[in-house]
Amino acid sequence: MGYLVQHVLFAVFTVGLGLYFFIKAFFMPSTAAHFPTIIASLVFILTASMVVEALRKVRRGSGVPISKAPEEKILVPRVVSYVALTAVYIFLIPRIGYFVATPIFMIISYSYLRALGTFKILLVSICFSIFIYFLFVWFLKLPIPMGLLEPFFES
Amino acid sequence: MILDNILLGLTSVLSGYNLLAVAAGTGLGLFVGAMPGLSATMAIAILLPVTFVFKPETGISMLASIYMGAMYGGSIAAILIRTPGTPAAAATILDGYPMAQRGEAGRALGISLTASFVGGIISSLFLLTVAPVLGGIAVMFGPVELFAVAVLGMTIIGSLSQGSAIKGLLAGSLGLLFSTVGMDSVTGIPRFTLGNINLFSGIPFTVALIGLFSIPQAIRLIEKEESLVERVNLITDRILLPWREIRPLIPTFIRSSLIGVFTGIIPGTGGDTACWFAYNEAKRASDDKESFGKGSPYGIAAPEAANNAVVGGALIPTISLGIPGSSSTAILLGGLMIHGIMPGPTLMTEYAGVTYTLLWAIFLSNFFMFAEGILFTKACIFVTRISNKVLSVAIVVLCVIGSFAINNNFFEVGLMFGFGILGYFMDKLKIPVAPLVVGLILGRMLDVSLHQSLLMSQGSWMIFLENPISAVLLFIALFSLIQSTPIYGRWRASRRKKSGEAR
Repeated sequence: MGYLVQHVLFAVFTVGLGLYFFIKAFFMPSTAAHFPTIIASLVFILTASMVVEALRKVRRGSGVPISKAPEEKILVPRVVSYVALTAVYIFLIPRIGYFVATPIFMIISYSYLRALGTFKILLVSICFSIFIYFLFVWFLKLPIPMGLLEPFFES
Repeated sequence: MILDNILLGLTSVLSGYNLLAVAAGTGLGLFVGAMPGLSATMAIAILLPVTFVFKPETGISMLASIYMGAMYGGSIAAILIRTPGTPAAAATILDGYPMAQRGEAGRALGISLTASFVGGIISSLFLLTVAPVLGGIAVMFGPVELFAVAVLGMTIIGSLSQGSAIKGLLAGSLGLLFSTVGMDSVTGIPRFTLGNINLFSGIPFTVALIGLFSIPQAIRLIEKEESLVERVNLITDRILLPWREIRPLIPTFIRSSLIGVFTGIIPGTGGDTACWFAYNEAKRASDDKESFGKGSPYGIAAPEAANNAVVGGALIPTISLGIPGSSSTAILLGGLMIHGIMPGPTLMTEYAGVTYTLLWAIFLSNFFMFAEGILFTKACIFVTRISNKVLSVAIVVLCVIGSFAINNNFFEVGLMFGFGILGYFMDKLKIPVAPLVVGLILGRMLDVSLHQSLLMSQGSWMIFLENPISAVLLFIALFSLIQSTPIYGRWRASRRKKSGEAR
């Protein structure tokens, strides 16, 4: 994706965000609306400046694309899959329980990333989950949802 | 009064739990810093929830010690595998790795450790003396001055951010915008909450911090194929240096430490700026410039003294004014807020017990860093071998549990992830994240002080110019904005050209 396009897409995000705050503030009492209105206006000005700056850089030929050299290339499918995997992991925790979701997430991620051999993947995932249990549940007394493991942890 | 508080802090830090927290924090920082690609900021963000169970002074002391330990830890990876453990150790590679390649890895690490120790001690002394005095002045500030201080902090951190000043300021403005989410502290009406009750108390910025600093890092670690790195696998010589080797380095230690302290004080500039600044100055002052880049001890001493000296320097505006000097100190400030301690000039008065314990913890962590550095540096060789992919997944797991731990709320885990994705895209566009964080922290203070000031002046903005302190601070803010514009750059260049022609 081109340098300018990336900046334009980010500008669309910031302008959209700014517009939400600006319009919502319009219907608020002036005391509450004052500060967000000023900041939203500032966001519009700075966004426009950022796009102009990007445009000038491209015209001067100094716009830097994300990846210049082949060895620097970002593995987009890997990044997207990993982010999706993390989103699913976060979604599943309240449903199946933290200590079920975590080892599964670690095993799938390590296997997908080819980080370690099968035995080491299992070992690291289980040991890390146990470490988290002792740190956050046993030591910090955090009420972590156990989900499917609930019957085993009922006292 | 100040002396009483200093003594109070000293007594507090010497209690068993606090000493243990400082020792453990320094050790943790050392190991995390040694892992290539993991920054001190990320280490503090991830470990922040772990400190909840402690008393505020114990938790904050531990976080500050992680910061100090990670600054030295970063040099271990730089010297042994030519990859900076933290961005602040980037300049250490230039001379650290060639020295290690010559079979003097222990000597290189010894110079780095001693320089880090001296830099840390000098900056701690500055922190212990300057912060209380500055805090004493700041406590007299009213809403008008506080507004000006916050505006100055925002403009400096935005305009001095690496890369484009416009992007830095935009990131800061986004942070300010996010800070307005939640119940308005003046009118009590909910603002921009999307009708979601979880947002009524605002965006919990520790959650945002964990996401912004850790998730992009986790993605960065897996986004490219891991390349095989050249490494030095053995430390055969001694880390503890003899006095005859330390003595010639002392002027470099002191000069670089002062550079680190003053760079740290300026919001927006941190260890990564200071290390290059100090390296260049050391080279400029040296009679043997040729040796730089080939394993010169001065080339290791300068950046390492500077990056540890940044810790104390960055904490000066954080503690005395409530304006974080770096991303790491922003997280420390977040740690204070989690314990119910609000940033601002009252840190030195109302919360003197916690604040002065923190000042002493920074001082003491240098001694622990030195001792643990001698004992554990060799063990850190194993840490530098951990694969990026293994680290990345572990970071995600820790982020999820850490953001849940803050309020036992899964909505915040999703929020953390959302901020993480935002942080990743910002990183790809080279938009700095630190101003966003500072905006999130200072937003409420700016909002309230603006409202109070305008109430005092019955709506007149002239109040900010009629007050001399505020006028001066706002003038400096305006100047920092102007000097970051391309027009100013062109004007300076044309002046230089003209003066060159005149000569």
